[in-house]
Amino acid sequence: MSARHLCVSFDDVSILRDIDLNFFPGTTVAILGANGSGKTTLVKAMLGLLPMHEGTVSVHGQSINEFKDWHRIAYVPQKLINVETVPVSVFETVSSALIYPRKKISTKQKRIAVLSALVQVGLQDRAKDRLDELSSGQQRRVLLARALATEADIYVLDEPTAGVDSDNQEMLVAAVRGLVARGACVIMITHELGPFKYDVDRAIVLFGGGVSFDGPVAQLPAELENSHHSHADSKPVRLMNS
Amino acid sequence: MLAYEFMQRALIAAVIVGLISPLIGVFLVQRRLALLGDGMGHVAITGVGLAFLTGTEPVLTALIVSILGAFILELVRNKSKAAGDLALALIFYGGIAGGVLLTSLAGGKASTALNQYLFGSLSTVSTQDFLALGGATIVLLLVLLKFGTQIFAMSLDTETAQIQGIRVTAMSVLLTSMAAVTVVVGMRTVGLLLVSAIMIVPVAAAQQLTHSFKATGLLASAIGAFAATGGLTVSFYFDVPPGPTIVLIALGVFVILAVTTTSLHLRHRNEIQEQVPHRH
Repeated sequence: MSARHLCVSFDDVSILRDIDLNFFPGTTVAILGANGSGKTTLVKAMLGLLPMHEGTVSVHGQSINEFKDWHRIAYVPQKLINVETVPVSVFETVSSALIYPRKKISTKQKRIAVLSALVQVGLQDRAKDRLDELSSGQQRRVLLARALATEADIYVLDEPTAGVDSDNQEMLVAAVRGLVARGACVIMITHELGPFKYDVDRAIVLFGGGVSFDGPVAQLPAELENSHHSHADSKPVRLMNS
Repeated sequence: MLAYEFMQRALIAAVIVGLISPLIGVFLVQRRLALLGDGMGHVAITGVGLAFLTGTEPVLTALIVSILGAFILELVRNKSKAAGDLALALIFYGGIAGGVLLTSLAGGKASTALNQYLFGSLSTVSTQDFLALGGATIVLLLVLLKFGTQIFAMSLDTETAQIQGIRVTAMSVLLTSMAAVTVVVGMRTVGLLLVSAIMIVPVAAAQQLTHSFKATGLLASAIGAFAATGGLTVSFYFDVPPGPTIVLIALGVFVILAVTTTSLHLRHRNEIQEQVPHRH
């Protein structure tokens, strides 16, 4: 997956300018930055959810506008699912990831994939429960299970551990480790590396609409490690631009 | 009651409406578009008014105008800055104003006939209507079978559905169009002003008991059929329009289930609290 000269503007206000990024198989990449630095906007633009003002995004060699193999991408949104409407079971929520217009998956295959994903996030006993009966941390784990149930090779996770307690965070780290081990690329938006500190291969820090740091986590300046501390007065550091 | 041929037709038509409407309504509730059916009902009034004025078949004209309204509604929601409920309100007002104006221009007995379409009527379900209703229901079921899971995924989480390759705008237009067809299917028995209720109220009742989307849809469909049968029977014996009786029975089911489940939850909570040892 790559972005070239990616620019995003809303109502003539520039949010992202001239972003060039490449993402490779078998790696975990953390996108860091202060609130409003454009982390979510970047991944949404790369996934085609937001219009780009300029630039191109390609996935597996195809332009995002022509890309059709959507089963190869899995996404965990930042926002939890709205549970204040019709009751939805945990099983239904996870299996909703396996609905593709161009690829049919049998009921049996779906069931196996869903239950296996729920095991990975420790919620195998809650499959039949209503999603709204779960805590927000558990609902976040359900969203991750929804991504894990797919056979994607690119995973985009927006704040995957928000609200998840530390014991279960370790479980999510193990699940992400499994994805990378089978060659997937995991792109993670997070405020802090936290439990993923030893698993993230590369960090990208957004600042002022551009990339202020892109390189190995070991070279990440300590003050940038936690996005809470990447204040507007932080000086941009550009070590590498892949 | 069933000795009358018109009642047999009306009863079958009502049961079909009761079964199919909540199956569409469950998606509307999920998308927080519970009032969309009302909007489509108002648009269909313009269709009926146009049919009176032009001498065409009301069911067909209402169907065409409603589907057109569905497209316009989605266009307004997507392309303009008007919020979803505002776009719906604009369609509401335009639909009812157009319908009343066209009916008035048609003159004659059109105003009296409009009443039967607004609140339903036992005697107005003709064989032709009956066949149209059956055909529309089969189309709705086929569309649900083909696209139901994609509409569900879109209703649950639009952005993720888009990343799964689901054409969310097309699915949204499809759902609105299905609501428009359902409104026309139900206009003879339940009436245009209340047909939306039979899409939504059974869903509200069913979700008091259920744990999944699928179960909610199926139970709502059963409640819809029950309300339609009961309402039509009451309508026959008390000589009142069927629309209000069908809707009131569905509301009655909702109230009974809501009160029962709330009291059971409270009782369960109290039992748990009593089991927790008090600290002194």
